Amino acid sequence: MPDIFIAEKKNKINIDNFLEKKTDRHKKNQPKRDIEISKKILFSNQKEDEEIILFLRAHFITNFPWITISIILIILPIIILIISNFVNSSLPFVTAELIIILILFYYLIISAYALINFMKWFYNILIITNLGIVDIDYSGLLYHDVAFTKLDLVEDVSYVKTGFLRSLFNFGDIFIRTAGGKENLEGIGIPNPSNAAHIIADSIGKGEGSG
Amino acid sequence: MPHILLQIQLEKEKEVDNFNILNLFLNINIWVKIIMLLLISMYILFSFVIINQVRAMNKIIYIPSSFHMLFITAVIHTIFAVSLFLTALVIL
Repeated sequence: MPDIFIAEKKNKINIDNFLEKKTDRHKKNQPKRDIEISKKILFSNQKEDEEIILFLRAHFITNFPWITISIILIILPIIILIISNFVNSSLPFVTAELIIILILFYYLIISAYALINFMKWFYNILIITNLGIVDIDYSGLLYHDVAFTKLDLVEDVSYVKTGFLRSLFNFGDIFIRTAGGKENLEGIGIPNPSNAAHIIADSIGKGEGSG
Repeated sequence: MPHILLQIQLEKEKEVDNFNILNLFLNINIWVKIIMLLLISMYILFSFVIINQVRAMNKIIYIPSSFHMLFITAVIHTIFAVSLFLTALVIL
Protein backbone atom coordinates (compact mmCIF):
# COMPACT_ATOMS: atom_id res chain seq x y z
CA MET A 1 0.00 0.00 0.00
CA PRO A 2 1.48 3.30 -0.95
CA ASP A 3 2.21 5.77 1.81
CA ILE A 4 0.15 8.91 1.65
CA PHE A 5 2.46 10.94 3.88
CA ILE A 6 5.92 10.18 5.22
CA ALA A 7 7.15 12.53 7.91
CA GLU A 8 10.64 13.82 7.28
CA LYS A 9 13.24 13.03 9.91
CA LYS A 10 14.42 16.61 9.62
CA ASN A 11 11.13 17.84 11.12
CA LYS A 12 11.60 15.70 14.23
CA ILE A 13 15.04 17.19 14.76
CA ASN A 14 13.55 20.65 14.40
CA ILE A 15 10.93 19.91 17.06
CA ASP A 16 13.66 18.64 19.39
CA ASN A 17 15.67 21.79 18.76
CA PHE A 18 12.60 23.90 19.35
CA LEU A 19 11.89 22.16 22.67
CA GLU A 20 15.50 22.61 23.77
CA LYS A 21 15.42 26.28 22.83
CA LYS A 22 12.11 26.73 24.68
CA THR A 23 13.52 25.08 27.82
CA ASP A 24 16.59 27.31 27.63
CA ARG A 25 14.40 30.37 27.25
CA HIS A 26 12.30 29.24 30.23
CA LYS A 27 15.47 28.86 32.29
CA LYS A 28 16.64 32.30 31.19
CA ASN A 29 13.30 33.83 32.17
CA GLN A 30 13.56 32.50 35.70
CA PRO A 31 14.51 35.14 38.27
CA LYS A 32 18.20 34.39 37.98
CA ARG A 33 19.25 37.76 39.37
CA ASP A 34 17.33 37.15 42.59
CA ILE A 35 19.09 33.84 43.11
CA GLU A 36 22.52 35.41 42.63
CA ILE A 37 21.78 38.15 45.18
CA SER A 38 20.22 35.80 47.67
CA LYS A 39 23.53 34.04 48.42
CA LYS A 40 24.64 37.07 50.43
CA ILE A 41 21.31 37.78 52.08
CA LEU A 42 20.77 36.50 55.59
CA PHE A 43 17.69 36.57 57.81
CA SER A 44 17.00 35.87 61.44
CA ASN A 45 16.33 32.22 62.43
CA GLN A 46 18.10 31.05 59.26
CA LYS A 47 19.49 27.54 59.60
CA GLU A 48 23.02 26.67 58.50
CA ASP A 49 21.91 24.48 55.62
CA GLU A 50 19.10 26.81 54.61
CA GLU A 51 19.55 28.38 51.19
CA ILE A 52 17.47 31.12 49.68
CA ILE A 53 15.78 30.08 46.44
CA LEU A 54 13.76 33.21 45.81
CA PHE A 55 13.96 36.69 47.25
CA LEU A 56 10.83 38.62 46.39
CA ARG A 57 10.03 42.26 46.91
CA ALA A 58 7.33 44.43 45.34
CA HIS A 59 8.03 45.87 41.90
CA PHE A 60 9.72 49.29 42.05
CA ILE A 61 6.84 50.80 40.11
CA THR A 62 4.64 50.27 43.22
CA ASN A 63 6.57 53.23 44.70
CA PHE A 64 5.18 55.51 42.03
CA PRO A 65 2.29 57.01 44.14
CA TRP A 66 4.43 58.15 47.08
CA ILE A 67 7.24 59.40 44.81
CA THR A 68 4.69 61.49 42.88
CA ILE A 69 3.16 62.84 46.12
CA SER A 70 6.65 63.69 47.44
CA ILE A 71 7.56 65.58 44.25
CA ILE A 72 4.27 67.54 44.40
CA LEU A 73 4.88 68.35 48.07
CA ILE A 74 8.44 69.50 47.28
CA ILE A 75 7.18 71.87 44.58
CA LEU A 76 4.18 73.12 46.62
CA PRO A 77 5.99 75.71 48.85
CA ILE A 78 7.61 77.27 45.77
CA ILE A 79 4.15 77.75 44.21
CA ILE A 80 2.77 79.11 47.49
CA LEU A 81 5.69 81.55 47.76
CA ILE A 82 5.06 82.78 44.20
CA ILE A 83 1.32 83.21 44.95
CA SER A 84 1.99 84.94 48.28
CA ASN A 85 4.00 87.60 46.46
CA PHE A 86 0.79 88.70 44.73
CA VAL A 87 -1.41 88.46 47.83
CA ASN A 88 -0.54 91.15 50.34
CA SER A 89 -1.39 89.65 53.70
CA SER A 90 0.94 90.22 56.58
CA LEU A 91 0.42 88.63 59.98
CA PRO A 92 2.29 90.35 62.82
CA PHE A 93 4.02 87.23 64.14
CA VAL A 94 5.11 85.82 60.74
CA THR A 95 8.73 86.83 60.52
CA ALA A 96 11.31 85.87 57.90
CA GLU A 97 13.05 83.62 60.46
CA LEU A 98 9.81 81.80 61.22
CA ILE A 99 9.16 81.23 57.51
CA ILE A 100 12.66 79.76 57.09
CA ILE A 101 12.17 77.41 60.06
CA LEU A 102 8.71 76.39 58.84
CA ILE A 103 9.99 75.64 55.33
CA LEU A 104 12.91 73.60 56.69
CA PHE A 105 10.56 71.72 59.02
CA TYR A 106 8.18 71.07 56.15
CA TYR A 107 10.96 69.59 54.00
CA LEU A 108 12.11 67.48 56.93
CA ILE A 109 8.59 66.03 57.24
CA ILE A 110 8.58 65.26 53.49
CA SER A 111 11.94 63.50 53.82
CA ALA A 112 10.51 61.40 56.67
CA TYR A 113 7.44 60.60 54.58
CA ALA A 114 9.67 59.45 51.70
CA LEU A 115 11.97 57.49 54.03
CA ILE A 116 9.08 55.65 55.72
CA ASN A 117 7.47 54.79 52.39
CA PHE A 118 10.80 53.56 51.03
CA MET A 119 11.22 51.42 54.13
CA LYS A 120 7.71 50.01 53.63
CA TRP A 121 8.73 48.89 50.15
CA PHE A 122 12.25 47.82 51.10
CA TYR A 123 11.32 45.69 54.12
CA ASN A 124 8.24 44.00 52.67
CA ILE A 125 9.93 40.81 51.63
CA LEU A 126 8.93 37.27 50.79
CA ILE A 127 11.79 34.75 50.96
CA ILE A 128 11.52 31.21 49.68
CA THR A 129 14.21 28.89 50.97
CA ASN A 130 14.86 25.19 50.51
CA LEU A 131 13.27 24.61 53.94
CA GLY A 132 10.49 27.13 54.20
CA ILE A 133 8.95 30.49 53.51
CA VAL A 134 9.66 33.72 55.37
CA ASP A 135 7.21 36.58 55.03
CA ILE A 136 8.42 39.91 56.39
CA ASP A 137 5.68 42.53 56.53
CA TYR A 138 6.53 46.09 57.38
CA SER A 139 3.47 48.25 57.14
CA GLY A 140 4.28 51.17 59.37
CA LEU A 141 6.71 52.63 61.82
CA LEU A 142 5.15 50.85 64.75
CA TYR A 143 4.20 47.58 63.11
CA HIS A 144 6.20 44.78 61.57
CA ASP A 145 5.35 41.12 61.33
CA VAL A 146 7.62 38.20 60.48
CA ALA A 147 6.11 34.81 59.63
CA PHE A 148 8.06 31.58 59.10
CA THR A 149 6.44 28.54 57.51
CA LYS A 150 7.91 25.17 56.60
CA LEU A 151 7.53 24.11 53.01
CA ASP A 152 5.68 20.92 53.99
CA LEU A 153 2.96 23.08 55.56
CA VAL A 154 2.31 24.92 52.30
CA GLU A 155 -0.88 23.69 50.67
CA ASP A 156 -1.52 25.93 47.74
CA VAL A 157 0.01 28.81 45.80
CA SER A 158 -1.93 31.24 43.67
CA TYR A 159 -1.27 34.56 42.01
CA VAL A 160 -3.42 37.43 40.84
CA LYS A 161 -2.44 39.90 38.16
CA THR A 162 -5.19 42.40 37.44
CA GLY A 163 -5.22 45.92 36.13
CA PHE A 164 -3.51 47.89 33.41
CA LEU A 165 -0.30 48.79 35.28
CA ARG A 166 0.15 45.26 36.60
CA SER A 167 -0.20 43.80 33.12
CA LEU A 168 2.09 46.46 31.63
CA PHE A 169 4.89 46.01 34.16
CA ASN A 170 4.21 42.33 34.81
CA PHE A 171 3.68 42.31 38.56
CA GLY A 172 0.98 40.88 40.80
CA ASP A 173 0.09 39.37 44.14
CA ILE A 174 1.10 35.90 45.31
CA PHE A 175 -0.95 34.09 47.94
CA ILE A 176 0.44 31.09 49.77
CA ARG A 177 -2.07 29.03 51.74
CA THR A 178 -0.73 27.04 54.65
CA ALA A 179 -2.18 23.99 56.38
CA GLY A 180 -3.66 23.62 59.84
CA GLY A 181 -5.19 27.04 60.34
CA LYS A 182 -1.84 28.77 60.19
CA GLU A 183 -1.79 32.26 58.79
CA ASN A 184 -1.61 32.64 55.04
CA LEU A 185 1.38 34.35 53.48
CA GLU A 186 1.22 36.90 50.73
CA GLY A 187 3.49 38.87 48.50
CA ILE A 188 1.96 42.06 47.13
CA GLY A 189 3.13 43.58 43.85
CA ILE A 190 5.70 40.88 43.14
CA PRO A 191 7.41 41.13 39.73
CA ASN A 192 6.84 38.19 37.41
CA PRO A 193 4.34 36.48 39.76
CA SER A 194 3.69 33.49 37.50
CA ASN A 195 7.33 32.51 37.53
CA ALA A 196 7.61 32.95 41.28
CA ALA A 197 4.39 30.99 41.86
CA HIS A 198 5.72 28.14 39.72
CA ILE A 199 8.99 28.02 41.65
CA ILE A 200 7.10 27.98 44.97
CA ALA A 201 4.71 25.33 43.66
CA ASP A 202 7.69 23.20 42.60
CA SER A 203 9.22 23.57 46.06
CA ILE A 204 6.10 22.42 47.90
CA GLY A 205 6.67 19.09 49.57
CA LYS A 206 10.44 19.28 49.21
CA GLY A 207 10.93 20.85 52.62
CA GLU A 208 12.39 19.33 55.74
CA GLY A 209 10.22 16.65 57.25
CA SER A 210 8.22 16.02 54.14
CA GLY A 211 7.78 12.45 52.95
CA MET B 1 14.84 110.06 104.03
CA PRO B 2 17.22 108.63 101.38
CA HIS B 3 16.33 105.18 102.69
CA ILE B 4 12.63 105.73 101.86
CA LEU B 5 13.53 107.06 98.40
CA LEU B 6 15.64 104.00 97.72
CA GLN B 7 12.77 101.74 98.80
CA ILE B 8 10.37 103.57 96.47
CA GLN B 9 12.84 103.24 93.61
CA LEU B 10 13.24 99.51 94.27
CA GLU B 11 9.47 99.02 94.29
CA LYS B 12 9.19 100.88 90.98
CA GLU B 13 11.90 98.68 89.45
CA LYS B 14 10.07 95.58 90.69
CA GLU B 15 6.85 96.80 89.04
CA VAL B 16 8.70 97.38 85.77
CA ASP B 17 10.16 93.86 85.97
CA ASN B 18 6.71 92.38 86.57
CA PHE B 19 5.36 94.35 83.66
CA ASN B 20 8.18 93.08 81.45
CA ILE B 21 7.49 89.48 82.40
CA LEU B 22 3.78 89.97 81.70
CA ASN B 23 4.62 91.61 78.41
CA LEU B 24 6.87 88.72 77.53
CA PHE B 25 4.06 86.20 78.10
CA LEU B 26 1.62 88.25 76.09
CA ASN B 27 4.07 88.48 73.21
CA ILE B 28 2.85 86.13 70.46
CA ASN B 29 6.39 85.62 69.10
CA ILE B 30 7.40 83.84 72.28
CA TRP B 31 4.45 81.48 71.99
CA VAL B 32 5.26 80.82 68.34
CA LYS B 33 8.82 79.97 69.36
CA ILE B 34 7.66 77.66 72.16
CA ILE B 35 5.19 75.87 69.86
CA MET B 36 7.81 75.46 67.12
CA LEU B 37 10.38 74.11 69.57
CA LEU B 38 7.83 71.65 70.99
CA LEU B 39 6.90 70.45 67.51
CA ILE B 40 10.52 70.00 66.45
CA SER B 41 11.41 68.21 69.69
CA MET B 42 8.52 65.79 69.09
CA TYR B 43 9.82 65.32 65.58
CA ILE B 44 13.28 64.50 66.96
CA LEU B 45 11.72 61.73 69.06
CA PHE B 46 9.97 60.45 65.95
CA SER B 47 13.26 60.43 64.03
CA PHE B 48 14.80 58.32 66.79
CA VAL B 49 11.93 55.86 66.35
CA ILE B 50 12.88 55.62 62.65
CA ILE B 51 16.49 54.82 63.60
CA ASN B 52 15.30 52.12 66.00
CA GLN B 53 13.04 50.63 63.34
CA VAL B 54 15.86 50.49 60.79
CA ARG B 55 18.09 48.84 63.39
CA ALA B 56 15.36 46.31 64.25
CA MET B 57 14.70 45.47 60.60
CA ASN B 58 18.42 45.12 59.91
CA LYS B 59 18.51 42.49 62.64
CA ILE B 60 15.66 40.61 61.00
CA ILE B 61 17.11 40.73 57.50
CA TYR B 62 20.67 41.38 56.40
CA ILE B 63 20.98 42.75 52.89
CA PRO B 64 24.68 43.55 52.32
CA SER B 65 24.19 46.08 49.52
CA SER B 66 22.00 48.32 51.64
CA PHE B 67 22.74 47.36 55.22
CA HIS B 68 24.33 50.69 56.13
CA MET B 69 22.54 52.86 53.59
CA LEU B 70 19.17 53.12 55.34
CA PHE B 71 20.72 53.40 58.79
CA ILE B 72 22.99 56.27 57.68
CA THR B 73 20.01 57.97 56.00
CA ALA B 74 17.98 57.70 59.22
CA VAL B 75 20.89 59.07 61.28
CA ILE B 76 21.38 62.00 58.85
CA HIS B 77 17.66 62.68 59.10
CA THR B 78 17.92 62.86 62.91
CA ILE B 79 20.98 65.12 62.69
CA PHE B 80 18.99 67.49 60.45
CA ALA B 81 16.11 67.48 62.94
CA VAL B 82 18.43 68.31 65.87
CA SER B 83 20.11 71.03 63.79
CA LEU B 84 16.71 72.52 63.00
CA PHE B 85 15.84 72.54 66.71
CA LEU B 86 19.07 74.39 67.54
CA THR B 87 18.55 76.82 64.65
CA ALA B 88 14.99 77.54 65.82
CA LEU B 89 16.25 78.05 69.36
CA VAL B 90 18.76 80.63 68.19
CA ILE B 91 16.99 82.57 65.43
CA LEU B 92 13.35 82.62 66.53
